[in-house]
Amino acid sequence: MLSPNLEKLLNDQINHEFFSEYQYLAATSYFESIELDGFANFFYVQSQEEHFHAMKIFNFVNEKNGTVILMPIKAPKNKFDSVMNVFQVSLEQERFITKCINELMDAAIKENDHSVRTFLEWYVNEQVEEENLILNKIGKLELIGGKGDGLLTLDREFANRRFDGAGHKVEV
Amino acid sequence: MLTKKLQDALNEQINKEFFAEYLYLSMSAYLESIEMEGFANYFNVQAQEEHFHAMKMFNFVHDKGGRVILKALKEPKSEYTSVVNVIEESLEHERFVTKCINELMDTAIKENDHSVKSFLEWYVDEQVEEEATISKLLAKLKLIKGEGFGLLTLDTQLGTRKYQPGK
Repeated sequence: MLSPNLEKLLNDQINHEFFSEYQYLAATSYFESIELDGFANFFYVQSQEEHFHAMKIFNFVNEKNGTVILMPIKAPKNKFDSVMNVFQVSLEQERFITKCINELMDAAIKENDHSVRTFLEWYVNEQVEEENLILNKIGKLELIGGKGDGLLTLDREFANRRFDGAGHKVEV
Repeated sequence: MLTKKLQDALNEQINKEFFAEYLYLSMSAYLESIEMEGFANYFNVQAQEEHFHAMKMFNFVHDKGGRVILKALKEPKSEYTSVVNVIEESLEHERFVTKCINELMDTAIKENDHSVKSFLEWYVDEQVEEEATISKLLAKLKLIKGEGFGLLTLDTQLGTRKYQPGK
């Protein structure tokens, strides 16, 4: 059994994760439109990961005999000024998700629900990785001034990224 | 190059395919809540197919040098009265999708865009299959009056369905 409060918060989180998926798909589309297909692939893999994050919570709520209620997903940002802008928006989104996961964990601790607590640990750790990944790419973009040969090199590197279907990133 | 009209229509269809994914996930959640995990699995696979349909179009728009603009997804229905009710609603939804694909095809023909026309043929064929699959399932459910041992057998059978990439 989930308390109504935890059930609601988990449903909210499913919505946040699906929105992230959708935001990263919009980023994919932006990169396709400026012919950076490696970057587009990078964000497509991001979107697949977010889908996995949402479904993992979806399945957990079902296992705990809760009810998943899917809510509307707002329109993502579709227009960006630059490559860097996309990464800044992504970093903001990841930090928002981290904040939500932390609040969820606070609620689980307060309600002393151990199963939700241990379930959320995976997300706590995942968010450390997610934020770091985006920060790392921002660092590289700053290094190359966000253009030229450096951008092409990064684009080629990003073209190799794959999602393994089980929540793990494969950085080739 | 896509005409603005076709690009807008394709973007609208991408939204509808993503909504279908979301609707099927919502049905899957309902079926989980009534402990029909085989049916839930069936709709989970349906959702994955819809995702593929959306992404196939997403990639096509880019291949044609167009721009995909993702729009808000409305709230899917989450309350159902029975398994039969879910299947009836999904059949209705597939018929709606078929109607949209047909209208898109009409537009492509009108604008004489052969690449869009040939691209949409896959969807036209796919919709015949989608409607047929759901119709057959509905017929079986009616046969067993949507309950009892028959329902259990059907649930077990649907539990084995797996998503085949490219469908």
